[in-house]
Amino acid sequence: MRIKILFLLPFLLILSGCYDYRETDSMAIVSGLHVTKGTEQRYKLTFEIVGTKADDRSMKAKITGMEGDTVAQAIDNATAVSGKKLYFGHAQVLAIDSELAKEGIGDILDYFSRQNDMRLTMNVIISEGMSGEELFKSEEGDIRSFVLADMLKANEERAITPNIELYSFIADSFERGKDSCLPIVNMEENGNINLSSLAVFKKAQLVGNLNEDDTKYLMLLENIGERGGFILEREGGSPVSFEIRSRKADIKPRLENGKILCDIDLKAQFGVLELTGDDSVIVRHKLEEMENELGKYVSYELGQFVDNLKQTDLLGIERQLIRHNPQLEDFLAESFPKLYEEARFNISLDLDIIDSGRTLRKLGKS
Amino acid sequence: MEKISKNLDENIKYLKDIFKNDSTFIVRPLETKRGQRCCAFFCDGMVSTPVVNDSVIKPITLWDEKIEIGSELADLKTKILHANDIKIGKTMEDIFGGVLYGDTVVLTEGTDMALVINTKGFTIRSISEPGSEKIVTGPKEGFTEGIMQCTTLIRRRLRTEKLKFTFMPLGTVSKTTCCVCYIDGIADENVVNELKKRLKKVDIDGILNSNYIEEMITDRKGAPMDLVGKTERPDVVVARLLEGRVALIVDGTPVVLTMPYIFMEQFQSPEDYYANPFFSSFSRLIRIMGFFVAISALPVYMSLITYHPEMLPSPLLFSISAARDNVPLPTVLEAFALLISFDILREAGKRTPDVIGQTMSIVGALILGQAAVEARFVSAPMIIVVAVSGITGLMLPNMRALITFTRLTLMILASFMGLYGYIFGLLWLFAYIASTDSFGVPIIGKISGEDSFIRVSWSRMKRSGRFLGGENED
Repeated sequence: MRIKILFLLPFLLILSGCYDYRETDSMAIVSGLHVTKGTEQRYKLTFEIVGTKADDRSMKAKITGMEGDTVAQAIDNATAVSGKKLYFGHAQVLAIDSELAKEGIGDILDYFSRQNDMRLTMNVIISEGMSGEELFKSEEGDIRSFVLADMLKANEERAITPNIELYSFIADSFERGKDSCLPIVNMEENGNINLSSLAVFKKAQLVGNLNEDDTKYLMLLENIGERGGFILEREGGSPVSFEIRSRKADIKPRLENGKILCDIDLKAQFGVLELTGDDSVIVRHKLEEMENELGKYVSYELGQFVDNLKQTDLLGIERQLIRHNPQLEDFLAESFPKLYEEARFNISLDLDIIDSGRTLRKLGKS
Repeated sequence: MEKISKNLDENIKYLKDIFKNDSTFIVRPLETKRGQRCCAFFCDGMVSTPVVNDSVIKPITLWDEKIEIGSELADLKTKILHANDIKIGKTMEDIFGGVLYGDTVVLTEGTDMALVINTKGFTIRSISEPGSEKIVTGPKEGFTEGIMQCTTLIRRRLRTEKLKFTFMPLGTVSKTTCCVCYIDGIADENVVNELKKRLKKVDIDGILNSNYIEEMITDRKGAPMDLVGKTERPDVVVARLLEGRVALIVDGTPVVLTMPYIFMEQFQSPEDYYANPFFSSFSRLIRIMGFFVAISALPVYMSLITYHPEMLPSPLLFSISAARDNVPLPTVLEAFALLISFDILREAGKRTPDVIGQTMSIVGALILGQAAVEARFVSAPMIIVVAVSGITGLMLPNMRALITFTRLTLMILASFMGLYGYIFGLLWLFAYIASTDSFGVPIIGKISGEDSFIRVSWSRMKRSGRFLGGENED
């Protein structure tokens, strides 16, 4: 018996082994790709390919663009030109042109979700008014996709824009009950890349934008980011900057008498980041005053935000309603948009200012 | 068995015929002053000449009293000879065994028995620290090739009447003396009896090293690892005897075998018990980690860069990709070629004298390695991984066979199936270890919190004898 197994083992290894074997030097490692409408064919894909030279050990990016009627065809065309198989296992960024996104990107997402070597954790962004070459062009010689990935991580940490990964965007786009969003990248006049607003998607189709402030409140309610900042414009006082130390937002929608009522509970702790103007010192009674003002400000702004957001369900209200009332799934399929337009939000806040940094006093004041 | 004749001349003739063409065999006829004829037989070089002269030849030739007929041997043993160890030999085999092992045999006229006198005097290496088991703190003594010296080193550390030494000759031609050693009441009797049973079945011409016996008494023939403990240190043997194990000392080799064997023994060093428990535990964990690095570094590296590059951090993949630029061999062949080169260097280093060995290491490791990378024969990361794998493999000298075999097997599996192959191989290794016994005891042993992955302080450790076999007596 043992001899039989030993005899079979080499065949087992040779006949079933070596699947997906590849050498690193035979692959073109793609760090980022950009998808836009093609001029001759349906899609134009621009790839940022990382090349390394052993001589000076430096990494250099090569930008290659190729068109195709499908994403797969464009990638095959690029492989034919480069001579090496494109490898997406380390791709950091998938940028999609906003004009293409307005027509719907379901087909593109379908391709990327099927491929084994496609990294589902790559960051997805929407490029506005930029070609792939412009997006990946770098004068300093750095790998632009890595820079973008770092920017996205830093922005999320500072609660400026969320960092949306491919798998979560696909899930939100095709699962019922929640609309999705993606950060928008555009180029400022001075040539710097800007990432500060969001593109809103319904069923993988771009339907609108959120500005910087709305993005901030969306992230606050979605519990995304660690250190968001707020500037409180005080009545009869100078503005004060706050930084979020911790927060927990809870959204609880319910259906009552045929109407959607949604309780939003927000518990947050802030620290004073910057004092401006004549306020010399944060004393106890001023602190309470400031907390009240901050509460009013945030409550008002959040109210405005959720009212304006009724065109899209970025907060996943429908998903939550179905989760708690599965029997209403068919009913909500038809009536949710109308019900959501008339939804009432009840915002309850519990805000604390817990610290003022290293000093209570303003410099130069006694 | 050939009997001894009462006629001395016949005996002399018989022995001369047997040892024909052996110039080291000395026949020394003797006669007392009263005319009693005797003859001494011994092997030159095996005996101590002063002892033979002073304790055997001189007392007999100077004996001036009458020896009664029929009491020759008794008189020689009790009155004449000045030796501490005299045995009576009844057959020619007893004479051969004695003469060939440094004893002097005395035959007398009219007696069909012989006196076998212990006059051993062959040169034995002096006691020194074993090179393969060096420690910083602790005893520096190691076993030598002389079996009696080995037993002495053990006896000195265990002054109990329960320490037993049972000698038996093994090897149909070499008649090598072997000694089964155990502590009565602590060692498991079944293990002692099983060992003796297996030793009786050993059928081999000669035994030059304990490994000859090890391979014949092991539970699983052809196993790629040791199933019997080996050490050259008397303190280790004593510790194992106290744990209830049995030792086998073989004449002519300093390596003493201990059984049953527990796999974790390979990660233990005598120094673990002489140093601070925290440091000992740390060192032991490093050794365990070293074992896994030695068998895994190459297969995991090969798997990652050929099957699962997405699992590598991006900068590392770029760096490896750049290093592999223009390297002619595929990763798998590169790994095998470098590993074999490393083993060639190691083997060559072992056989060369120290001075040349150092030079060769520098040429081999530094100059050849660097030149190979610069010439793009091999990639630098592969040299690093092979070096890490090789050096960690040297950390556990007793596990060389297992590490080499497992590493190669895992490399083959990884080259065909990537990490799946590696994981399957590792599972096979664990299953193999878990299903293997040593003298009826599973080698995976009892994993205790006291002395396995770590070692706790002596004050918190239970009595060592409870590990195996009987209980210690309080």
